Amino acid sequence: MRLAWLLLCSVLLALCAGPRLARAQPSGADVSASLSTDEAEVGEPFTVELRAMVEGDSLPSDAQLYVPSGIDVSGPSVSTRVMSRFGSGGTYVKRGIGATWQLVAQRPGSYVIPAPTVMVGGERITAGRSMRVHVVPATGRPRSRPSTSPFGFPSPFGMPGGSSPFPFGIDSMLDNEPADEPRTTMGEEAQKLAMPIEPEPYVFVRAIADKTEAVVGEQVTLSFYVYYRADFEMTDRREPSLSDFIRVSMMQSPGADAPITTQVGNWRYLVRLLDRVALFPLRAGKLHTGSLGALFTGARVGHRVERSSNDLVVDVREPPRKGRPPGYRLGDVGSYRISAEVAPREIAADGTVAVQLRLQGIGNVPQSIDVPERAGIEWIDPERKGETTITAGRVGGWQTFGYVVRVRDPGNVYLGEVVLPTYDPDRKEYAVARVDLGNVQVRGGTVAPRPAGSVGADDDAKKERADPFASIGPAKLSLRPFDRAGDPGMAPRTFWSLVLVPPMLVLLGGGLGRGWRALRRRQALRRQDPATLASRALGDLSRAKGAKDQASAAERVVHLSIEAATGLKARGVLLTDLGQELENRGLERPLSEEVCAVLGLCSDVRFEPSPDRAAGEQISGRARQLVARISKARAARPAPTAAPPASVRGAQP
Amino acid sequence: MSGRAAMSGRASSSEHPRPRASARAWPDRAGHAQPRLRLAWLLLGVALGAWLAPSRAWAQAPQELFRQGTNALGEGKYDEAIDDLEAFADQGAQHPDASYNRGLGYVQRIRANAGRPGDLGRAAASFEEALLLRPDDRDAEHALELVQAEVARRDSRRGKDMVTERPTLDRLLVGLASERTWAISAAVFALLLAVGLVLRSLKSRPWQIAGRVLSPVALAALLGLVPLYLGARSVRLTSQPAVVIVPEVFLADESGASLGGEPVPEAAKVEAGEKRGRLVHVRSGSRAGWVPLGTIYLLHQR
Repeated sequence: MRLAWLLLCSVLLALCAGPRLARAQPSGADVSASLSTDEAEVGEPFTVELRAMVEGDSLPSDAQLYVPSGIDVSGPSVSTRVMSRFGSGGTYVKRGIGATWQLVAQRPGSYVIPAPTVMVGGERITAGRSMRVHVVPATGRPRSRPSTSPFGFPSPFGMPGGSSPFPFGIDSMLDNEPADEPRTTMGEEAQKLAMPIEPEPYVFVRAIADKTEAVVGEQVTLSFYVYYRADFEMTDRREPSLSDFIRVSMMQSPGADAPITTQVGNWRYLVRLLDRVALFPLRAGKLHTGSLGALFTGARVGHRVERSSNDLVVDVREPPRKGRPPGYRLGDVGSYRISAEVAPREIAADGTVAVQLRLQGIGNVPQSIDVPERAGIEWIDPERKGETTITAGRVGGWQTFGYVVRVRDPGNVYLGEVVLPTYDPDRKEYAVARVDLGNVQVRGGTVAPRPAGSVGADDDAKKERADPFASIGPAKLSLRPFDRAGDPGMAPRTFWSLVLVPPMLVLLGGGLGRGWRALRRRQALRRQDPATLASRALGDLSRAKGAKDQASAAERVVHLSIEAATGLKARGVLLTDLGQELENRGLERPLSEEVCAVLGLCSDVRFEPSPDRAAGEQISGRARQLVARISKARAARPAPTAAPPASVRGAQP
Repeated sequence: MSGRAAMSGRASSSEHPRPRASARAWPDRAGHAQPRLRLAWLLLGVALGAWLAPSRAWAQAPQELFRQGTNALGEGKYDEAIDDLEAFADQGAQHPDASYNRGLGYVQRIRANAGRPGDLGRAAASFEEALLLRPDDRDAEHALELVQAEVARRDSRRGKDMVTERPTLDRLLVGLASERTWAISAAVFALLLAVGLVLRSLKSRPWQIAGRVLSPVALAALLGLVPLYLGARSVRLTSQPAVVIVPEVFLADESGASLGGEPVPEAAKVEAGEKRGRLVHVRSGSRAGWVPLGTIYLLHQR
């Protein structure tokens, strides 16, 4: 029985210890987890961070976190990193991942959050022990959280490969709190990097140039920094255009420098040098550097948020004209010296010497150099070699030009002097680097025999000397006729005539046609004008012979006069109503009564079988007087709106 | 090369050579003067005779000079050939065959290893001149290409990168056609504009539509062509083609201070403009500056 108990206890012990033993961390694995706070409010997000680093090629994977009910979880946001150490203590490379979950508690209480787990080498490893968080009711006030992160190391930002994961501990390290540290405690570089306000939250890129004014060819050092106070991943980096500059990279391993802590507004930021380039302006003017941009992803930053650096403007001028030496080429800026080696110093006529020119100094070393042109000396094919160096932030280097020089004429031949005028922006003056090539003793007679088996310069020179004009045409033996016609141009008068006359003619013709049509239309209107008709009717009245004709003509004259004066077509109005109607239209009562009287008389005479001739004359006379009075009355009052009458010509008695 | 400056100013054509000074004219005029004055005239005549004497070619007809120059070229007397053919041009005569032979003379001198600095530029200038006078001269075109290739090769030997000067956009546009072409094009579009305006006023609907389309199109083309004509005219009247005849020349400002940058290489075709003293304003591609007058060869202005 005791044995049975012992066996049972052994089995139970094995069952309990087995999984724990199985979950033991493999050799070299470094797995840990942390909670961003131990006290949070309802609705306030907090994070659980897992860090798993292992030696070897296998990468930790499948990070998991189980949370108790009452807490919502999102994530994880996973990033990778590589950590290497080289030193006397040994060399090792660790690969790992970081996983961050964001948690939000829905109700107050004390919660125990189990430690997150991760698969390492086929085994699931638990990262430490469970964590406890105390959730209090929401107050709505911003809370300060103490730093509890155990991870004090910076981001491995700037890893080669383009993608720069940034998984760990920045939130904990900087804590997203306004800095309480006075700025005076910052180092000199940190103070230089400090900014009064943050241009963009959490992470941004900033470009800083060491100078904003330069001359063409002078070095301008441009540095790109990334400022951050939150975890992020940087991808899809976009380089600035720098189209107006020659660009020389000054960083051996971008992103490998230690970050600097500085102050941006009220926040403490980490700053890491992203890239540094030396720029040499190619032309004068206000030149833009362009922006360096990238996409940033992070729990606080957001998903693939674009950030671009500021676009700097460099005011580039030409070096001063005053004191500029002849032969100076724009862009040759810096401080250089030239050395030369000439060998051999004694050759046969039409032989060659090797001239090795070495140009060395600080600045963008010129890629070509002028050699002295002298009769009987031919410079062949320089072979160029060069190297760019960076010393104390200044670009420099050397360039060699290996020439083969053919000397044709015998004698003591002076090769000349090689000069390179440059502008030194530090001293603000021009300088001329020069080297005297000295003399070469050229023996007369035939070309010196070539050593057996030697190849090189002479063969090449022979190839070069192949007649480049072999295919040129023969001389012209006679003056053949040719057409002298070239481009005589066109006189401006002729040109403007050809260009302006056709459209002007059309426009003029169109205008004239339109004017003619308007004139015709106006004439037609005037023919139908009551005043005109009244004037004609007066003529008819004068020509009328009989009393009836005179009465009819007088009636028509009166009607047309009334229409011209008032716009009223009086023929359609009863004689009994006419007086009132005329008064309504502004005629005075005596005049309207006279109108009615004359029209009544006309009507009487027209319907009388044998009217008296004297009555006709009387009507004619009264009608003329009436028309004159109506005309006067019309002139004295504003024209009627219905039909503006023209003046009744010839209405005067 | 004779004493001819690298300038235009050839007053007459080959058919009308510049009148030469008559030796008999001096005694006749002097016969009416006082004895002292007569002596002065005599001395002046001697001086003029001495001045004219070295230029044996001056007293000869252009055709004769051409014949002599061509014969000398065939006999390998390149210096003599160049002298004769330069004298041909000095007399104001212009002929593409003479220009071609002159360029050939410079090239042959180079081939004979007797070339002088600037010979390539002068050869290129002569061939350019031949092409200006006879644009379809294939021999001159080929010879010019060979000369330019040789200049590039020599520059390459000196470690200089090949620099291609590109004209500014306005010059490029203006240079697409001649002034007359731009003018005629503008006149055609002016006519089309007039036609369009007429069509717009017709009562027929299709014609009206045609007029409404044609008139703005023609107007836009006209507005574009007029500046091109004016630009081409300005370029023709204010500038003159020229060729660099020294190994290289640096552009300078009016005071002669170098503007910096790459030099204009030999045989490069430039536009020469205003002259001030011994300087002439040139434009090479998009760059402009002043160069000494003797460093370029002004080509025949058509």
